[in-house]
Amino acid sequence: MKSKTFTFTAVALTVIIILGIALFQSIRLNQKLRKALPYLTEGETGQYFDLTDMEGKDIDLAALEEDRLSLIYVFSRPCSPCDKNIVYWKKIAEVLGKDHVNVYGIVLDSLTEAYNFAREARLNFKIYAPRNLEKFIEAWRVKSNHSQTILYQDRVRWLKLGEMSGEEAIKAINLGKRLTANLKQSVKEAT
Amino acid sequence: MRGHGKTIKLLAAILWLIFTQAALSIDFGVIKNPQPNMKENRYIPLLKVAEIGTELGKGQYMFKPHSLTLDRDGNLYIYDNLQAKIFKLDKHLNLITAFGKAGTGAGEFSGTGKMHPVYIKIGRDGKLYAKDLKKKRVLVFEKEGHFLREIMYAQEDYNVPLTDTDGVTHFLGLKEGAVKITGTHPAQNRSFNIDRAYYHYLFAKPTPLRNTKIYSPRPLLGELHGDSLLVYFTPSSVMMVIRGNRLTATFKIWPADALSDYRQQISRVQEHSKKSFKDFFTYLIIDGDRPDIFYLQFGVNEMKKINALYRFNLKGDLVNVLYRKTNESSLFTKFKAQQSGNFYAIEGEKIIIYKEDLQ
Repeated sequence: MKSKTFTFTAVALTVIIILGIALFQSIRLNQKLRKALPYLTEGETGQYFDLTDMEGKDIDLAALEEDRLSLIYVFSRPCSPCDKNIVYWKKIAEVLGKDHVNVYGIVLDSLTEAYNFAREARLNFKIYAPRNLEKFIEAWRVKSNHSQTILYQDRVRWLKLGEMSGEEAIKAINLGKRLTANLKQSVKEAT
Repeated sequence: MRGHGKTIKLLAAILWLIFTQAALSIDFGVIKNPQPNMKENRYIPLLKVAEIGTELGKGQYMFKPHSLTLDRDGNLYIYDNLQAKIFKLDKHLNLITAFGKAGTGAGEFSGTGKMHPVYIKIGRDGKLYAKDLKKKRVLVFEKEGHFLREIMYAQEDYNVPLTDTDGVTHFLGLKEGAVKITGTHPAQNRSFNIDRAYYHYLFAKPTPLRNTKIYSPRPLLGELHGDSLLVYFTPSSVMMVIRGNRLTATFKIWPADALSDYRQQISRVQEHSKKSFKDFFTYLIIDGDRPDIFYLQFGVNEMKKINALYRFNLKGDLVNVLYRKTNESSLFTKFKAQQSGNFYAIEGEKIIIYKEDLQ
């Protein structure tokens, strides 16, 4: 009887260990795969937040991440999907801006050119450039001529790579509103 | 004498060349340099009284309004070109319903984006007509959004189809130098021959005559108004009024200030491109309150400072000019409809409602 129990325990432990190793391996593989993706996925963090504005002033996004939702548009010039997203970006910024969501346009090339574009396109959000482009590209896994629309609060809450559709824009608005409401609720409860 | 023969042949050849060139360069009936035939006597400013932005309520958002129309109860219908959706708002601008979606099936809009817009219009039969340019069809809806049927139309038909009170649908188009009106039944078809000059441009330059076909009609604008059909020729700024099977009036619309501004604009255009052409009046709007009044909008997108709406009666008299005060950052206003004293316009991604400032 004892030997049977021993055998059962040994087998069970072996299975658990094997499953544990498999789980660990798959988590690592998943992490590797995620890092290999050309964009961040939900739950990941950008980790590089040093930006500069047109006047060369430093902007640190990190300070704003904890208790506020941020809407981040990563774009460059020229970029066809970015151009197509402009209408949606302005609309999402308009609606979520009323809910005090921070809106950042982060341009991956010349700020001067981007400012001219912003004036022509009548953008309703401010534009910044990474202080160190290489670090930013590595941390946020972005590419030139790619468009990214990100809802960010501590970590990526939602991300859209490339051209958006009307449904996706509405999804971003609704999710942004929900996240902001949750934040307000948690602040209320804390106070 | 032999030597003379050669000289005569040479002279004949030169003369032939000269005559051929002259014949080729004749501007057949082009209205080259129109002179003002009316004067702007009164300018009335327009005041912004309301704005429709992105949030419409009930979880609906408007992204890119492209066309709008009103029904007799004052309900406003807006077509969103990015979502392929129609929003219906009551006269207090509260959202009643939203309907339509992108696709090629029954009741779906195949065109979204700049290239294939959809134009909507409430017909005199009270139905909503949506012209889907991409599929060359018109979708007919009940006012609450229930899809009824679709009507196919020909390539050369312009504008949103026009409807009679008995539900007969007409298309307005240009074909072989005539305005043709095509009904749903062949017996309803009508055709009016028009002066070919009306197809052409106000000024000799830029002119399409040298480089393009002689018949290059630009889209005309037409509306059923009371029992009248108005046909406006954008190239020559000539208006035709058709009642039933009769052409009742033709008048040229060349107001002095507008012509002067247009000349300046054209000279700027010519500096940049010899081929470009700018419309003189851009939009035709029907007065929803008075059956004898219509409006033509002067100005094009590049002329942001000029946002003027010229008010005419059906005799072709210029009543007055309404204008929107603008500044450097102003968007171009596209006036789309008038009803109950309100002027409905699209500015960028918003709808703005104006009223006359009569003080």
